[in-house]
Amino acid sequence: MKNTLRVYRAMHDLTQEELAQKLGVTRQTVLSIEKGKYDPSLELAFKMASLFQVRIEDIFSHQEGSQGS
Amino acid sequence: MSRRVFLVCGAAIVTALVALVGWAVAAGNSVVPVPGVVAGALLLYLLRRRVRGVTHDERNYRIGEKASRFTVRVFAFVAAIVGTTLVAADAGDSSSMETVGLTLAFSACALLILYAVSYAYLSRRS
Repeated sequence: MKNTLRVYRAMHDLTQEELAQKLGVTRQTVLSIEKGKYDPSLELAFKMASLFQVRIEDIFSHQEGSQGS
Repeated sequence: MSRRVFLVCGAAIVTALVALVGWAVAAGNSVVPVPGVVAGALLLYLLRRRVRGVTHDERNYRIGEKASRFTVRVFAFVAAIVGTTLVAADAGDSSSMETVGLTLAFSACALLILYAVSYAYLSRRS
């Protein structure tokens, strides 16, 4: 799944650590999501969308055959 | 306590436990290891609760689930193969090979039974 998490993080001037703290996850999870190696749960995706005040579709877009876990 | 300090303390505690168990085995002491391991585990648990920030999240749990499934499959397969091979290779004189083989084989069976039961239980719950 592709995502623009890094873009929104930069727009809000947050480091990965700061974003991780706000979301209640580890920095490694934020890093993995930004690299597209990990697909977050629905709950975490909603948290992100709520934090950045956008829709989930604005952050994540599904691609056929994309890598992630 | 920061995560790094916790990792260092945890490594020190585990090292001490390994040394304790090693000494107990060498000295033939079967009493000391059990309370020692319990105390070490309790200490690790208490230290972990004092760590600042998030230590485990959904990603860690998901990776743990995958790792556990893989471990069960590999161990069950290898233990069953090696166990039955040892039992079959036992010429009758060496009971230790048969004992080891049976232990491995029954361990694999117990693991698979436990896996099936926990899977059924969790499947019913969700």
